[in-house]
Amino acid sequence: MLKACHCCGLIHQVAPLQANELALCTRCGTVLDEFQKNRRSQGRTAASAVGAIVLFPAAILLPILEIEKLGHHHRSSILGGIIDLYQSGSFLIATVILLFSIVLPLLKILALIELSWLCSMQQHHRARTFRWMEQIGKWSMMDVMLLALLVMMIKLSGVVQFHFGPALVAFVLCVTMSMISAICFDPHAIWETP
Amino acid sequence: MSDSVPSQEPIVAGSVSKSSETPFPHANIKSFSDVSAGMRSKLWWIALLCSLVSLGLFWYAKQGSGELIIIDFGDSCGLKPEDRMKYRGVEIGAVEKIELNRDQNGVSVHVRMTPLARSMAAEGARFWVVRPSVSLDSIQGLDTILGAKYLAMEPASSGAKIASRFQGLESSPIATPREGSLEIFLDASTRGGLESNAPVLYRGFRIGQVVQVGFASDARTVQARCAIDPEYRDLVRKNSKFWNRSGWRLDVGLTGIKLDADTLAQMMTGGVEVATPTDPDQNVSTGHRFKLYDKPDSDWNSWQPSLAHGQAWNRVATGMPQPIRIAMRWQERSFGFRKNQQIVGWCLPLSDGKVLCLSEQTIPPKSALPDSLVFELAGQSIPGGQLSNITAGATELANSAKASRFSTHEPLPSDVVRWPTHLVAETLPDKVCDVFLAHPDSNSVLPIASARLTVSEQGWIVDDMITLGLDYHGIPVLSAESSKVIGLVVLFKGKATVVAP
Repeated sequence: MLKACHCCGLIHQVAPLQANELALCTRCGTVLDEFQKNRRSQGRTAASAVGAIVLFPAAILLPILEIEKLGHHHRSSILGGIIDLYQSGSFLIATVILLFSIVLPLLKILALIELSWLCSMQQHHRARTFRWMEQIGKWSMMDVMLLALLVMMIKLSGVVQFHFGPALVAFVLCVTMSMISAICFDPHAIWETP
Repeated sequence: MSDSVPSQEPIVAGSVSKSSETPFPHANIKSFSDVSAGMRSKLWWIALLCSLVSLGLFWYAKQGSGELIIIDFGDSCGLKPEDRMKYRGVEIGAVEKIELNRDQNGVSVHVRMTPLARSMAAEGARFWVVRPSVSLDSIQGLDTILGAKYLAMEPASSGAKIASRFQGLESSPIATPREGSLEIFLDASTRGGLESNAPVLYRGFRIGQVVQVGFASDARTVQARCAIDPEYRDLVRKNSKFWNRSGWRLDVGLTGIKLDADTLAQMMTGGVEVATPTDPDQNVSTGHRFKLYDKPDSDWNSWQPSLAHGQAWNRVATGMPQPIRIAMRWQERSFGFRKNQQIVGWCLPLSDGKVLCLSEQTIPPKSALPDSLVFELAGQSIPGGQLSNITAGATELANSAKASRFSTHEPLPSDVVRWPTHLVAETLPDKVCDVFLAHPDSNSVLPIASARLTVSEQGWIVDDMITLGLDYHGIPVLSAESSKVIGLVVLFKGKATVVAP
């Protein structure tokens, strides 16, 4: 079987691999293939994507931040914050946050699960899903939001008091798991699985 | 089939490399470590862990928030969700939501109590919204002007049944009178501007407050319930006169205009003035009724009784025995040398010229040299031979400590305070009563409740809960009931006993 190196482009002949074997590029040392590569990468992707999706409700529904200012308390979850924004009339901001911090990350995780585990779609549909996922992945900003939380905490810590809620743990884990999932995903698996 | 496939592959690859001019290199084959072999199953374990974490967080969020109670108010008074409930300044809960109740005649405030504080919300607990209130008397709830309103509570007495629905108070409850306050009722024909929280004044000095103003049960009079602070309860006697000092009085006469008002606060809330005649009657007890006059008689303000007051124990302070120090010095012979010895303690000079003290102060040990005995008290040095010992019939104690009386040939200096002899009981009373240890240092005067005393053969034994310093050895004990000296304190082996005088 012929395989091109992802890194330097050199084409190799790769013999079928036995258990615990992997094929390396003769020129640059990049891993070309390993035993049951597709199944393994799909397994990892699916596992971490499932981990991310079970944490997702906890991350958006539980209170993430409690702000105390002059005795006034405000405690909100991510979803609650978006609802508050809608109610106070900031439709644009609320929509942007809803889209980029809830809808797109959720779609990305769901797409990863579909591509790596469920495999219910036909191959060319799956390829399209993958390209689509690549695009929305750039727009899902869960990790950026985490950064924003930290910046806010540092900037405002003198004025108001902050208490982080249980959702922060879920949020951090959810971001981590979805990142692991995206890293583990091997797009070759879409075409190489029969 | 599976066996044949590997054997075919090299042949095909070989044919490719032979047939084409540029053969593709064979990829390097390496065996990888076993660590990553288990990767797939490990990640599924992590996914399982994630779901556990997720469930755990939901459970934690539900658990940590505590139970819900509902408090009904007539008005929400600006209370908002997420405002806190505080008790003694500590947060014990948070308002979850506020809604109009079904009958639309009030609001229901749903409060989530922290689990620790849940037991405080039992039947009888009182809740109110703390709002800023500025009166001339005081400013309260200042922290709620800028900050959020909060709920305050007064927990139920312990052991009450836990409840989850309460009726809130419209305003903060009137502070319950301090323990030991004297509560009296004043009957007036009209209200005369009197309000609750109005001060009760003695010579213009606040000694208590009006707790409640309302009709008497038959509406014939207006009745004001007053609480006199414990330290001033002795100022009110059975023949005391109360009059209404509310508002201000303007007298226009030939001599000019006379405006009569005391303080601004009194002008607004009114006040009750009390005077006690120069020959004061007995103390009153809680529940006593007085008539509230509209204005004072002309001589009431000129009454000048001398009344003892102060802390509750000071009820007997007018006549606290004043024990003085007494030292018994003697010489002993040891190894051929004369050695000075002394015992120092308390004694109580009596009005008949005798001195009351513990017998150990007057009886020297057998080893003492007979002519060396000297007593020193009140700046006088009295040779031992000049004393005539009269030992009272006191009970023997383990260390033979008992009270004794002696008289000196020369009278004690006149500045020594003498305790009247008729105020010394012959024996300890049969029943224990509240007593005071009459230490001459007024800060060290120690009240001991009757519950802390037990009767025994030697005398009254003081509970171990009360630790007495050696300084109390020989101090006279004064009964709170009869104001008589009923005994002396003996400290022996860490145990305090009251022996008969």
